[in-house]
Amino acid sequence: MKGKNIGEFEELVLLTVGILHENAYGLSITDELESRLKRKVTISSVHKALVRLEGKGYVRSYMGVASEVRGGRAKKLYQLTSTGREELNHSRELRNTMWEAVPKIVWEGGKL
Amino acid sequence: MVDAIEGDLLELYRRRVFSLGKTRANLLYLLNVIMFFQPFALKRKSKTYAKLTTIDMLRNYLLIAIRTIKKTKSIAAINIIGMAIGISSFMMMVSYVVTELSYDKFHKNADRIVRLNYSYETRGETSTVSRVSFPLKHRLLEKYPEVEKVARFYINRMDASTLKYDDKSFTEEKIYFSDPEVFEIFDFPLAQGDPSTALIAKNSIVLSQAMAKKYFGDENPIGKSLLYKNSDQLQVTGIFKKSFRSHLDFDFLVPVELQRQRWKGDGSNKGYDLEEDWRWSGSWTYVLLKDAFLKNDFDIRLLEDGTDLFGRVDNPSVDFNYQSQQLADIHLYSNMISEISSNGSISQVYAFAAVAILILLIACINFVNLTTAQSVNRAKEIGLRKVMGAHRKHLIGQFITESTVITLLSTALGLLLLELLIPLFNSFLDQDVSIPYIQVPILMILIFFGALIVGGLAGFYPSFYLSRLKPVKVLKGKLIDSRSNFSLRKVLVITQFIVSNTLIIGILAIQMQMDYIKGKDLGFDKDQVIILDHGSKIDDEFKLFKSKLINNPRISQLNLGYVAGTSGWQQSFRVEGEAISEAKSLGFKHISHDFMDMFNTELVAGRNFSNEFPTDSSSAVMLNEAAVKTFGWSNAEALGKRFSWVGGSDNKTRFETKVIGVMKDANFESLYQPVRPSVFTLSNFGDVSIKFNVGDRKELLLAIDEVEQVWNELAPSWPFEFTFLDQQIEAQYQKEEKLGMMIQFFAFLAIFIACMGLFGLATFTVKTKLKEIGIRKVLGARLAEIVFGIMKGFLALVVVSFVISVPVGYFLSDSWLQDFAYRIDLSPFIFLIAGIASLLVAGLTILSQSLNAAKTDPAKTLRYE
Repeated sequence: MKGKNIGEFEELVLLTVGILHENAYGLSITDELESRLKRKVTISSVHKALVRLEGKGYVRSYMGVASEVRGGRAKKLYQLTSTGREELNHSRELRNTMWEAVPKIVWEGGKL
Repeated sequence: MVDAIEGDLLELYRRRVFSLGKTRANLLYLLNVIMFFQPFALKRKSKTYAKLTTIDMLRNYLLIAIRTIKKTKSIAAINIIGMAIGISSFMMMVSYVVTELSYDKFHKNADRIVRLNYSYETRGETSTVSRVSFPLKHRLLEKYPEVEKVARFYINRMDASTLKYDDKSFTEEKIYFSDPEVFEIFDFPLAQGDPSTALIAKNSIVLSQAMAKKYFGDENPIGKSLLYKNSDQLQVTGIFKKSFRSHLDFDFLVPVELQRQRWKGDGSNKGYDLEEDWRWSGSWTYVLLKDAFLKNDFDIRLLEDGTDLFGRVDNPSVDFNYQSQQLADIHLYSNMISEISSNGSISQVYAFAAVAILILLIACINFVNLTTAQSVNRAKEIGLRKVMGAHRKHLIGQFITESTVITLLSTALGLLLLELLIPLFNSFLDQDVSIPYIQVPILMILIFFGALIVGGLAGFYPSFYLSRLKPVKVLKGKLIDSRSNFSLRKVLVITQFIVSNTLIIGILAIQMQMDYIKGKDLGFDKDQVIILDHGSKIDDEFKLFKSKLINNPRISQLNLGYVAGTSGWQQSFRVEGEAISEAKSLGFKHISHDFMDMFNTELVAGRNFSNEFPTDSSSAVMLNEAAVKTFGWSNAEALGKRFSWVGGSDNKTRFETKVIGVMKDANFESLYQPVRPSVFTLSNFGDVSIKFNVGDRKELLLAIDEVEQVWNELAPSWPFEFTFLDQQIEAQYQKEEKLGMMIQFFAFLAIFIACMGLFGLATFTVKTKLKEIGIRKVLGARLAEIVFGIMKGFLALVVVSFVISVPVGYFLSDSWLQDFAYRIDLSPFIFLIAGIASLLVAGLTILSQSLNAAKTDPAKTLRYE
């Protein structure tokens, strides 16, 4: 948890928290990520990312209702904070500007 | 956290059981769990085990402090009440001191404003007068480049200053005549009207808001007219807010020019122009200097020119030295002849400041005593805390927090007490002290921090003392060594009792002196006499006035002239055949034929003034015995001696008057001074006094009513107002009486607080001695012996403090008594009473504690030995 920078995986988790809106918790995020990334995601790495994101202040958590399926355990639901949203916007912009900085010629096949 | 993870895993597991089968699900579950063994999941959540910060400790200190106060309610109550009394008295005194110091500081030119005074020397005695002559103003403006502006003040006290609007008419005491410059020099705030023009017109008047309300109610006063002394219509040109503190204590301002014109046109001294009169020093004159540092040059030039200024008078008999005085110094430092209003005194301010600090000190001492005395109860707590790892600084923090909490509570209580105290104080000392919480909001913060500081100081020693206790000793049940540190508490108790003893001696001395003065035979009758305030209004018709009343059986005598018991004039007299330098300054009183009869004074030689000798009014004087002694004659020798008055404005020497009689000495003036050697002449002007002959108050009021009726016939446009002579005489000693009462009040407070301290100490000592007492009882000591054994130590402290306070009390009382010409001797009796009183009070305070201890069953105290 060094500084406020987030890694690629953390950014994806953060986005997923946004996507899932009111229903973002460990397992649902894992599922969502797996379905979108088309690859295996371990639940512990999602939790780890969530703890870090909370420490950086990009998400906040609250306890949800317990259910039979979960053996009576409550869900820990996550929510984007305003700085979290800012961070997402920021990295998106960064990407956009970098995209724009790529010379057209690169896309057109790179004839030298 | 754990819950959430477990929930997720279980949900996942359930899903896997359906899709992959139980075995694989189990395996994967295990794998998942193992994968959670990472630092982020294992780390203890830091929030629940936060480090103890200072704030947390403070919260804990506060909690413990409140618990301790709850647990030891009686000691805490004594502490809080003692402190509250101390704090409220302290604040009371301080606000008085601050008020006194604030006089005339609000003028932004204060450092440039000076008042002119002059002094002159006659026969080794220097008199300083706060007034100078009117025309001096113009001379100052012409000849002194350092002078920027000059404003004069004058009060006419010759007769009733009445003001009238519609049917509302009052006699006003505080009408000051002044110059238009007054608003340019001073910063008296005008709420309405233009300060630059307010006093320019001759018939203008500026008054305070309160006075405007009194005359005009809610109407707009500007432009309205007030009738002054039944003859001049004055137009209101300004209203000021009397929110300032100044020795210039006026309700109304009118132009000096008004008085000048009134005199110019007045019948008896027609043509008199005060702007031309260099002889009469009637004006309080204030100068605005161009710069504050010019004061020195100005003084030097005044001194050089002084005699010259007065040289405008023919044949000056003495030199007059002029000097200037800083405006801000007037209220507290000035005590000259004819001050404009009665001033405060810096010594009284110092005295009050000293008492303030003393009272606070006593309260703090008390606190220290009581808190250290509690150490027996707290010893185990302290030991246990130390065992649990408390550092000494924590314990100190703990105790200082406790003392601060107690001081804060005391301050709150003290402020409430103060609200009760202020009106009492104000009516008592005729002061106008208030605490401007709203005007000066920072005061609340200051009080708060002041309380914190006092709390810190008071808690300082106890916290160090208590935190030093050795845990091993106290937890073993060993009592604290009562000898160590005991000496400091002894010193504290002695200090408290020195203060209270001295105050007791002071009370007794003041009380006895006042009784002596009140009971002293003045040598004349002062009962049932009234003086009419505006008697000069009927001077001309006095004979008629007298004839209408003298046959009234309730009235025994009417008199026109000097009234015994009031202050008279001073004049230099010279006996025939002696050099002018031998002239003596004597009291000078204009009396009537009836004076001796009315005031029942005794003749010791010669005869009284008599109607049979018409020349008495021009060529006869009487002396009192003191005057006869001043000239070195015997009573018989004095008769027939001729002399004249010298000096002043009339320096002619005529030996026309001859002594016809000698009057027995009587204290006409003040008991502060010995009987003034005086000369009496016959006259037909002065105050009107009436002596009644009535049995009770009801009859007296009836008689006064009858006088009023006659007055209203003869002087219908002047109010009938009067003063009782005996009250006027007593008023002279009011200052002393009030001082006495104040000291009494604070003495009681000091003694009360000191006794509380003693009580606490006794509680402490008795507790440490319980086992000793038990053993003594087992060995057969009697109750009285034990009680005496306990009390002996304390009473010794009181005796020691008494011995120290005797010389202190003697010195202070004696220096106070020096002001009186007639004073009591400080008999040993006073000191004896004071000593016995403090012993008795101290004894009673500790008696109950000692008795309780002595009555304790030894089986209980010795059970564990």
